[in-house]
Amino acid sequence: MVYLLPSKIENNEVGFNFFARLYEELKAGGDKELFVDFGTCSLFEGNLAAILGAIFDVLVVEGYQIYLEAPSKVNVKNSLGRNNFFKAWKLDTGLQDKENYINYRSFEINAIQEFKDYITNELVHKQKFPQHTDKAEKFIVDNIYEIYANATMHGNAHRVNCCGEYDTVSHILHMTIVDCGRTIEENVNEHLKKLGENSISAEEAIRWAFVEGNTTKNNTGGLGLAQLKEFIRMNKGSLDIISGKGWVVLNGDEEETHMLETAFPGTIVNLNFNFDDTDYYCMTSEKQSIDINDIL
Amino acid sequence: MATQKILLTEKVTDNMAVTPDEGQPILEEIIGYLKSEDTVEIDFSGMQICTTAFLNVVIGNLYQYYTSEQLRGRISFNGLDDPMKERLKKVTDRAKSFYKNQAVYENIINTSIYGKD
Repeated sequence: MVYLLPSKIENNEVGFNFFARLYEELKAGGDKELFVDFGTCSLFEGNLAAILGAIFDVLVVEGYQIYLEAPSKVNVKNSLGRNNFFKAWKLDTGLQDKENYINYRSFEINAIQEFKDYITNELVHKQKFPQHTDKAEKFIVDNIYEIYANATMHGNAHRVNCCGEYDTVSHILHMTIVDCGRTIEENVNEHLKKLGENSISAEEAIRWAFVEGNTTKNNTGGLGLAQLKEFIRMNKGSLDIISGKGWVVLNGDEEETHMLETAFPGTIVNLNFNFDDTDYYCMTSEKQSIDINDIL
Repeated sequence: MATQKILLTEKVTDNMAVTPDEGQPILEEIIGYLKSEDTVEIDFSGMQICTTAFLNVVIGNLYQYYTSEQLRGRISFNGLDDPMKERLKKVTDRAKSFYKNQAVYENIINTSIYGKD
């Protein structure tokens, strides 16, 4: 089956709805050989290739063969060539990677150190990433790593896919981390059911998961995602979390919630970092040391 | 009363503590020592990763059984760098508040359902 991609795939409602229905659309023809055609696609924002790759990975496990038809538009050739997405799917564009992109990678669930090295080298070491101390760097990387840990621990995902692109006009770096495991809604509602509480909607479940103290495990917890949210707020960036039909945008102190037309079969986290941020980040403990005797 | 040392790098794989499941046997070991009136030194030296999920189980869950006052003097830490120290402090602050509120919550249920304090 030949699947013709739409003309524009962007970080917006149309783009996210497209990805939410893509998995089912690719399977609908019943043909195990899929030819994905970029011929009429004139804009494909680079970070979103992580979602395309995550869906392809699931289909490959299900026995599908994926072939990419070369793009005709320079824009698309550049954005998916320079982040090495095309190369990962055996389509050589001959383009070199560039500082404006974060390479496409598909991580297995036990590639913990590999993932952390990737976040450190590909994201946090970008020239324009907000300035920070070494200790703050470790803290930021550990908090982004919590997304990967959540996908593999709670989502039962087999892989985690990532890549990113810096928008030279808005000065925002968009980085996407995707898994096709259980959705946040499924996890949270299963937890609430055990507690005898009513189930909640997909977007309420996402908001619940980002509140400090909330965890689907039966103990204290739920700090990892709340700390990441706090860093993005200080950076004046934003965060999109899509899981199932829910889509929540965290922007400063504001939260917007949306519903997608179709449920995405997993979780997408879009980290949108503001590279105009001139603040210098350090740990509170670097300014005022935490007394080791005050921890307990 | 003896001091029992727990070197975390010996308890986890590749110096990385990731899942709550990895933390559970360590929590049980700590509780065992505390019941025997021993003190415990938890050594983080050489650890590359300690997720909050892991720390919540190993340290946070101690507050389910012990108060802050009971734990101070009985448990000590070694080899903590600043980011880990900050993370651990957040975990213990959160756990103290969580289990304090849980006690209040259970007390309200006891009072309203069973009519007892």
